[in-house]
Amino acid sequence: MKKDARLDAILPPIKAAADELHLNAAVLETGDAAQLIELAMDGKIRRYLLGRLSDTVALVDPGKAEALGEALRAGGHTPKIVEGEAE
Amino acid sequence: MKTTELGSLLKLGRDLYPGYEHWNVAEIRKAAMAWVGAEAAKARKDELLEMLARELKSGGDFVDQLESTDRQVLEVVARHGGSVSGEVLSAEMHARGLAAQMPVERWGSHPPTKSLTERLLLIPAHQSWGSTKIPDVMLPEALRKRVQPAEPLALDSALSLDPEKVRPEGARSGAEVLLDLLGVHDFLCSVGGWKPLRGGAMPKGLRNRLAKRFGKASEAASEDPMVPPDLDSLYFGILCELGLAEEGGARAVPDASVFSKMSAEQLSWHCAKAWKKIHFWQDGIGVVPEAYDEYDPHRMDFDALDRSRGLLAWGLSRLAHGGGGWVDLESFLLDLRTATKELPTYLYVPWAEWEPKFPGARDKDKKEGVERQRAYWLSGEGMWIANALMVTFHALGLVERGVSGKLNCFRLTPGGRVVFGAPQLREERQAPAEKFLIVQPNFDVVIYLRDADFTGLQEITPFLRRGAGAAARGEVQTFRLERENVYEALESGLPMEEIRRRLEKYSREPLPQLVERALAEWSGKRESLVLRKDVCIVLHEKRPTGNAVGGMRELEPGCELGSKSAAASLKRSRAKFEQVDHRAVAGASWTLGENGEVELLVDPLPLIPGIRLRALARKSRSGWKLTPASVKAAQRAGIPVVQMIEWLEDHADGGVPRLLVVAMTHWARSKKCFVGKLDAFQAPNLEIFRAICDSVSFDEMIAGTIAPDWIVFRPEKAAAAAKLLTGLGLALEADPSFDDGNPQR
Repeated sequence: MKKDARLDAILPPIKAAADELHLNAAVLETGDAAQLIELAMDGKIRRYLLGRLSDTVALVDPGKAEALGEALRAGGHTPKIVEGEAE
Repeated sequence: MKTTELGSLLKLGRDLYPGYEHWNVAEIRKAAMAWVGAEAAKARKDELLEMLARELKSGGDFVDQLESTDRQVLEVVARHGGSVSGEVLSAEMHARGLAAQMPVERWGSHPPTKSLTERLLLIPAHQSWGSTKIPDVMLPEALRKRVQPAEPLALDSALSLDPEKVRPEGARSGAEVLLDLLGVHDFLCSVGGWKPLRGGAMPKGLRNRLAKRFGKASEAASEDPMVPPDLDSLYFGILCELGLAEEGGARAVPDASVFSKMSAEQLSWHCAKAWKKIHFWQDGIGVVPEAYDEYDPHRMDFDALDRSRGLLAWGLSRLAHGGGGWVDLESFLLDLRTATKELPTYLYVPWAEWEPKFPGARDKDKKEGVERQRAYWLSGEGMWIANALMVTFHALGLVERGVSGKLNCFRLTPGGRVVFGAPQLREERQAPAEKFLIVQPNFDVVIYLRDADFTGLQEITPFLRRGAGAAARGEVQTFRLERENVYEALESGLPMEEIRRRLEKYSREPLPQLVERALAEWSGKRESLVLRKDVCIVLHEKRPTGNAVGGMRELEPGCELGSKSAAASLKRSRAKFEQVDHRAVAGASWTLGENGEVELLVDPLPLIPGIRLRALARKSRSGWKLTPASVKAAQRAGIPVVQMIEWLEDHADGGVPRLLVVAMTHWARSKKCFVGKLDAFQAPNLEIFRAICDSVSFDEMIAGTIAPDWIVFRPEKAAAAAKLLTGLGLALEADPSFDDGNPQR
């Protein structure tokens, strides 16, 4: 299975049905697509991800950013947590 | 070389107010005449008050003409920083022989300091009328500049032991105490806030969590009688004294930079000062209740404890000025008892973790007279002092324990000498070495505490894990450099470059390459996984033709990510876009039926409810529906049922039907149920039911019982069972009966 297909199966891409502006959202950004696949295959992390905005960025379920941070740390990951910064 | 100067521990923690405005004229005149002489003889009351106010502030040139005894008493008060408790003054007057020199009439029905306090040469604390006890006193401001402090008292050198005959058991350094304090402080900062007990102590739950942070090692320590009970609470009291934990506010103050400005001696001094004041924690007992019941005491009386702590600190100041050599514990206690003239402190000691076996207290019930009193004192107040000296002060690095033959002995540590000998004793010491650690290739960090200054320790501990048990004791301690701790430090805002700089600054050897590589890798891993909160996302239904809005990062064509600061301008420039605030996504998008049918109220669904529904339900020709398969699929994707119900609830008009909640819960659990026919027998009464259950003949036929009168037979044995029952004369013809008498249910 190709990488995109694997990603689609595990974490489907998000397609907007209308023009939308999302405020106070949270996203999880990885260094590469493989890392996102690895994370999305873990049910304890996947539950907090709604879908992917790109191959390396996933949209976080509203209100679950704290819980996702804790789940990542509990899983041995060391995410950098930033507030309000896009880059 | 650095010099540490500290104040007297015995100075009162408060100022005393003269209050002479409330005296009668004759009393005011007497005081004024002592300060200004005959000028006060004919002055009016208002003039006398004015004179006294002036003189108490800047007068007092008559000090050299005072009687020798009076002057010496003032000098004793000056020695302790200008104010002192009545007990300590009384003890010191006895020890210096001043009490014996005072005229007999002064002792009558008044305290011996009365002639000094009525002349306002000493300002007394208020005490009940007619009391003969020496009150707490303070020198007036004018005399503080003029009275020379008395020479310190020293302990009789005959009490000192030959150091050759003492086997030292070690002392703790100020750096060890600092590490403990930082550990408690860090933990309290991570907790946030808590509701303190009445009296200021930490609640029990918090104390338990604190005690368990080192696991079994700390549990073992808590059972050692030579480790103070509830030691963390004593540290909490010290943190309160240092302003790092607010007793009333019930939270830790995160900025602990106060330590970096301290020497080890200053920290020891603050520890001793906190110990003198702390009530919610008592030596040998630990945390105590605020309420006192004299018939069922679980703690010592606060006033009596304050007096006793003051006298013990005074006794230790004599030891400090006596050279600070080794002394036998029991001899020191008995000397202190004699030196304080057995001052009644009324300290009742209910029990203590460490019970020293004093030879002088052996068979105390069989002794008589003075010996009996002494034996009882040793096993009561003496036991408390022993716990304070050998357990509390050892933990705080003030006392070194030792053994001479079978006797417990101790001496003050260099820091302890400075603390209890202050202000006359000063410690001159060399500045600590700049480099005090070695990072080993296995990520162990060996720290030489004797060479470490407090600033250095504070700089490196945030990203190191401290060991527990034996690894956390002694002058050389082993810490660990671990990814989790480094990550926490990075998350708290400490850059990796700074962590590396600090390690290099304090390390005696270059950092091992393996460690260098690991630090770079840990930092890189963290940088490669970023959780961004409170950002803006712009999603286009169709791929836009123009470029992304300024300041926005294009993730994919039609999807842009922006910082929070861009929100205001985006709201204006994208005014026609559907705005979704992720802090308030709930809103009616569907209704739910008991069987899982989902009827959409909005079509197409907005993004968030749309994604959530697709994750939970399946779409067929008849519409969306929650099914056992769809719920199981969601569960396999990691979404627990609670979260599924939360999602449905967020967007359901009228809520989620309770039956659907039950169904979803059971679909996810895959619990199997039985529905079918049973070969059951209902006994006419309990006697028959028990007889059949206990029967050997029926034993192999019975599958089980489902109620007090219902027996289920195995299907293959049902016919044989029926035959046996018929043989017993039971007619198997009745309808089943149920509790409510309705055979249809």
